[in-house]
Amino acid sequence: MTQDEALQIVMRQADKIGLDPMMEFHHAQRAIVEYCPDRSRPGRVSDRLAWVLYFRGELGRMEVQVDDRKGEILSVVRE
Amino acid sequence: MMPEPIEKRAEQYVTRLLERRLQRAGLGLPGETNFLVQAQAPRPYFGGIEVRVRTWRHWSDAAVSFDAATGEIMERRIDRYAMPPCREEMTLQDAQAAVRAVVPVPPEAQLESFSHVLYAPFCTVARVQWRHVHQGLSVLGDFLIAMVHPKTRQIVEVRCKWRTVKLSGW
Repeated sequence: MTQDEALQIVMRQADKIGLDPMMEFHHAQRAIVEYCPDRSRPGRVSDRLAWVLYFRGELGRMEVQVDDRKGEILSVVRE
Repeated sequence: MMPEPIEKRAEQYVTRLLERRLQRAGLGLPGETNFLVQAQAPRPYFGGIEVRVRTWRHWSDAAVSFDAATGEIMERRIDRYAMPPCREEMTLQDAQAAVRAVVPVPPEAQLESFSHVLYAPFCTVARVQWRHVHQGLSVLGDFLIAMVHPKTRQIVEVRCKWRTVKLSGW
């Protein structure tokens, strides 16, 4: 998967993940991330190769992790 | 005017003695008396009486944190190792050597930052941080941070989160 493909996946699901339209894409990196299906509870984690995309806006920042192989959105973090 | 009881005088004497010695050894700041003294009852001694004084000292706060799942140590610190007060700085090479002498730095560790921070009033320590890079890719969330006293080379604090990467089907 390329960075552009990962960005397209995020933009297609912008409403679903709550990406503010005023936020702009800032940068991305391909990295190994810890994946936990339910972050609200302690549990097993696994390693995934992902594209991590960073967005910035006046109201804050957002980080979205996209699985590099499956295109699944693994995590959304708002600051 | 009644003289002070001998027990009280013994405690004052020991307090003064300890304060002087600790300051001379660089282990105490002026006015810092974080130790306790307690005189015991006077007892016969040839030629007079003696008063024995027990002492206790709060040497340092220390903490260890473990990963609840794996039992690995995630953080350990001994605040006292930030003493004696120091304004000096050390080189990155010296700091890395001091850390590596005590802490196993994983082969996939890549230096991320080096700085000096004020750990406590008048106590500057060197801070070295590594990140985890696996086959050229950053492992997000993993880090190794160590604080070193620039003069004594003691490791004041180590914080670590480091996992063995297992990428399925990669």
